[in-house]
Amino acid sequence: MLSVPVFWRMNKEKYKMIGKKCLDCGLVIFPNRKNCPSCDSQKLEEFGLSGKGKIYSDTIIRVAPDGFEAPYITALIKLEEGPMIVGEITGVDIEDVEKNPQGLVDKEVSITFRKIMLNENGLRVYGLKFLLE
Amino acid sequence: MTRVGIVAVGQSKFGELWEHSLRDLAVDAGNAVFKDLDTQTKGNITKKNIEGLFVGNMGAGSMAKQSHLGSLVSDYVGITGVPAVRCEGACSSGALAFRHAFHTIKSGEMDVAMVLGIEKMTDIDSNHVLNALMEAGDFEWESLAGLTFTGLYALMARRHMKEFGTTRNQLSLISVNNHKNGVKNPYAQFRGEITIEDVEKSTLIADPLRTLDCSPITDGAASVIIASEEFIKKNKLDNVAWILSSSAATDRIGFFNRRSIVELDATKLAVKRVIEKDRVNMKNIGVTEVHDCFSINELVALEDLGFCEKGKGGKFIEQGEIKLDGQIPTNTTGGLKSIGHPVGATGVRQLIDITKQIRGDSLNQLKNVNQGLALNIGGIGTTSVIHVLGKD
Repeated sequence: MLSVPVFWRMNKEKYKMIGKKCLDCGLVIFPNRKNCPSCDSQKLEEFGLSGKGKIYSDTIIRVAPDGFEAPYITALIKLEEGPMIVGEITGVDIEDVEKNPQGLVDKEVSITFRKIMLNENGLRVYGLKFLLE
Repeated sequence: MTRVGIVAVGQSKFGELWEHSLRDLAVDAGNAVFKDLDTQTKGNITKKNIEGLFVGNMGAGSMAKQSHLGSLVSDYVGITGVPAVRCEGACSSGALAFRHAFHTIKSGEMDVAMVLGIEKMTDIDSNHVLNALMEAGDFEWESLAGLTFTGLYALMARRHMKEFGTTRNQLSLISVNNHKNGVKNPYAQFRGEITIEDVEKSTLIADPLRTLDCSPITDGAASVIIASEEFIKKNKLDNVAWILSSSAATDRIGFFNRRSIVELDATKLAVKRVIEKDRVNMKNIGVTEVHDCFSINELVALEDLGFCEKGKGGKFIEQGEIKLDGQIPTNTTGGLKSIGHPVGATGVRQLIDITKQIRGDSLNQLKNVNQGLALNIGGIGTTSVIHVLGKD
């Protein structure tokens, strides 16, 4: 059973979408790291991301892990600043999406703030989801 | 440095084994490997010769509430006292345990070691199994976003279809072939043939992947005993499968952080080392075991290993090249799809089936096989482990 600090310490990333930028090579880093994955520099500064991006690949999860309710759409999203992240696409009709074998690939999305899951101890976990533009 | 060979193999039944506990599975695999050791060495070598134990296991802590498997397994298989350790690398834990045993013998520290891969997955609800398996991914940014392992491979499949025109039919042929190969396998979880129609009518799990694209949740254990060349020669053991190459590579933990999601760099790096460092000629590989946890992964593995060109895996499968009489017979005893996928056991089970092809006692024995390759994958190409076994 995970306690509150697990989610609390990701506040900046998960609730405000603040990442890092490497002062040496310029790479935009999200999710955060302490060292640049490209040049290994430790000189990183905070960098706010726009929350806009494009769907790279997506799937409809029909058998969900504990804490989630299927069906829902999960996608890889290429953010406009460069990094890729995983996020749920909300506000779309699954019956429409499932008819298209290409899913939602190449569709533009932007960030929204929603309930993600119900933790085992009843903690409601909030975080990032995406809406079609 | 000494060469190392596999001298005995054995496994438990794979399946939903409600009547078997974690330790029961270990004992079944242990008894089977000791029986084979007795047969292969005409009673000259016994469990008393074993100097160390390497256990491959991913999630007994989460799925069976039991850690410290080095001690548990050594106790229950009856070799208490030997140094023992559990090796973990998600679904590649079995091959990683084997690799550590191999290195220990190569170093000269031991002459005989036992490897046992094991997973007990049906003691918790299946939705909790999904959570446990996702421990192989990135917890903060994949699990907490509601992604499952089927979901990860579905993202790979959809992109492979878009970039290379891979078809639903081509994926289905993979599961059909694995089930066909598993029909005679007495250890397999599923021993029935399936049709393309069966696959395409099965329930969607994560679009475009369906139930019959997925390996099942399985209980099982598999074990091998390996020994140094000096020991093998001194004891005049024949029918040995020699380890010609052991190679492993890792990639970044998050699938969202990869250079590509339609090829696995860890597999490409590992096979490069097999060819360049261990001087294996891939043309000599006559049989392969690849990690078909999901149909798309078998297709991508065949491409990444170089058995066919990138993007041409679908065509290669359509042409029947993975069948028993094809260019590279693949998963000749049923693969993860038919045999089942007790995650920590799979890497060792693959090596058992390659060993049998080399020794000549496989249930689907191929003719003139001198070398075989096994690819065991942890996560989604997060760890890739390759072993090449040969007659000499």
